[in-house]
Amino acid sequence: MSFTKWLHLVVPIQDNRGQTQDIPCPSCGCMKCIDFQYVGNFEARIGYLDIWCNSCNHGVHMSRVKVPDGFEMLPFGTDDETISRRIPNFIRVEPVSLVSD
Amino acid sequence: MNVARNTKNSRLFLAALFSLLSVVGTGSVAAGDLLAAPISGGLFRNKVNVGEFADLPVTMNLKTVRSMAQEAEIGFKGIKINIVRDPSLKGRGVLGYAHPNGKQIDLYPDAFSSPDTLIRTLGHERTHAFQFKTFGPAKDSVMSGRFEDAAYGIEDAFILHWKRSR
Repeated sequence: MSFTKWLHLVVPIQDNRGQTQDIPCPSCGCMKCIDFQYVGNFEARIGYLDIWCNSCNHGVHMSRVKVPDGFEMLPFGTDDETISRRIPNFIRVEPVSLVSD
Repeated sequence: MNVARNTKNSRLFLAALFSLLSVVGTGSVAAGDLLAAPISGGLFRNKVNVGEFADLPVTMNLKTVRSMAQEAEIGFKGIKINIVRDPSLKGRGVLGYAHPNGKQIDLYPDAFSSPDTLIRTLGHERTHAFQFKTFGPAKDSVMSGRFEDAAYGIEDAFILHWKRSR
């Protein structure tokens, strides 16, 4: 399970202008299963990005990202119901830490 | 519900602020001692960005990170800073990542796209490291969002410290 492979999904997501049907899940290989959501500040276009697989329920949370022009986002402070409806509680794929726990 | 959420957000925000102030209050930020990883690579990396990163205005090395963290009074005691020199992520807007153990922060190339961006990213991820150590990693998407609200909300405070120190 590679965090790096998940992280690099930002490249096809951005290049395909948000279309994800041709992007295989890095964890299970499922096609048409990747989904994502930016949440952030509309003016600064800074926020966070969640990418997940609707099949195996794995994904990544990118803490601080720039939201590319043309991509929709939910605003900071979005109510809990909307957030939980839009972003599932996926199993987070984490990078290998250089520091032991 | 909104009131309850705002209250929780305020608590998280204040907790993060407390973290900042407690570091500042010691008067011994000493990031130089705390960014433990040695600088790897050739001599050029210590002075200017080269190759695929040549156009990034902030030098991608720990010396620069250490210096700017000190100016902004951001403490990194017990936290390792890792600079991810991945050219394929340059220009993709990926800035920083705090590991769920609260002991490591990864900085991506775009974090070095301006001094302001680096300070905000350092402060933001430092706040997450504090949150993870205090509350544990986010358990769901809602908690994750609250952590983000707080980390984003405190960025201006770090910028303020940084500008005052210059």
